[in-house]
Amino acid sequence: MTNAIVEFSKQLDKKIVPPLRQVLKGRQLVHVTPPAGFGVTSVDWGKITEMSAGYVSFGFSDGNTDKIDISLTHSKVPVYWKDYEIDRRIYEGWLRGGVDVDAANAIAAAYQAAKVEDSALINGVSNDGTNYDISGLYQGAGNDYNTSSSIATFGVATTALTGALNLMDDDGVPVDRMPFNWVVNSSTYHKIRKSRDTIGTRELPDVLDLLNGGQLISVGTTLTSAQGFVSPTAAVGEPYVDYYLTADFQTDPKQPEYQKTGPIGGRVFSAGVLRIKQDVAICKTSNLS
Amino acid sequence: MGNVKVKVRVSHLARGSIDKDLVEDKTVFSKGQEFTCSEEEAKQLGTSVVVIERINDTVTPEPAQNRSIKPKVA
Repeated sequence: MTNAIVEFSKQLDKKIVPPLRQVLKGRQLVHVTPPAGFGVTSVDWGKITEMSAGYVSFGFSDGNTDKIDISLTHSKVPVYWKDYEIDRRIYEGWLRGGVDVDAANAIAAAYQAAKVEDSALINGVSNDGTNYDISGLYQGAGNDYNTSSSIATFGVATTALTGALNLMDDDGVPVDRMPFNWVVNSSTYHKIRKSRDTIGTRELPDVLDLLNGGQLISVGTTLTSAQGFVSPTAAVGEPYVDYYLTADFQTDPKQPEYQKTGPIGGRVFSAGVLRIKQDVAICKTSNLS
Repeated sequence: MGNVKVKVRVSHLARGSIDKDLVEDKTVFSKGQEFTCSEEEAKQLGTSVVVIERINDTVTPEPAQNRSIKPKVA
């Protein structure tokens, strides 16, 4: 029976991973490394703290040896998980070959685990609800454009976005050459989409133009309405930030308590940690409402 | 809520009203700079700043009409 449960678990994996790929917002925002293995519990990585100045001269001279200042960062890799149970008769039906695997519970559990992972990537990991043990994209941003204004007012979105890009530009981030995503709460997202001036001109095309090919992205309520951030798209953002994945979403079956009638339990999990290498390439757009 | 002195943790922090161009108007604080704001704003700024000092509220005297006047005992 053990082999059958493992096989059942594999069937669940096939049903879970494709729908999760559609809903996971965090992974769409950053470059994701290939899974390094679940046994990896921590990772050492270099964080660029300061870029040294270049030199100009008519020849190369000794004594100008310079290096990029890199601080070695050690991060523990958190696990995102949720347990589930599947009715035994569905499993028995699958064993007989006549019933398709109903993965509803496992998929529901996977969505819950995915929400936790999304929150960790987008906002951060906080055990006490106040201090962040691991910073996500918002909490780890190296710039902040903070202004108390109503995003529904025409022109505020473009002003805030331009201001954020300006701050990153001042830090040497090539904002005119890279596509950026503007990641916001659902309420802010819809306010920007419907923003029009008095003669009906929409603000959204201007916003998208400023993003250089990136997108305006809603992350639902993972961020509050006063939170948002601008970051390079996953395609170009690897030098600045990436998601060090150790285990992609998968299921792990549990032996049933009752051999013939006990429900088939299991656990959906993934593991990985966000690595912000240059925080100045991420700018908060905070306090907008 | 009182006021607090905070230190900027991020590279740049633009802070103010959207009515003016924050970057152009130099209302941008750099990493390490300090300023005073309300506790509420400091909380809202979150990880962008770190609170370094709490400034005690000035005690406002009770309005005269509300003060109880004790009768003099002869």
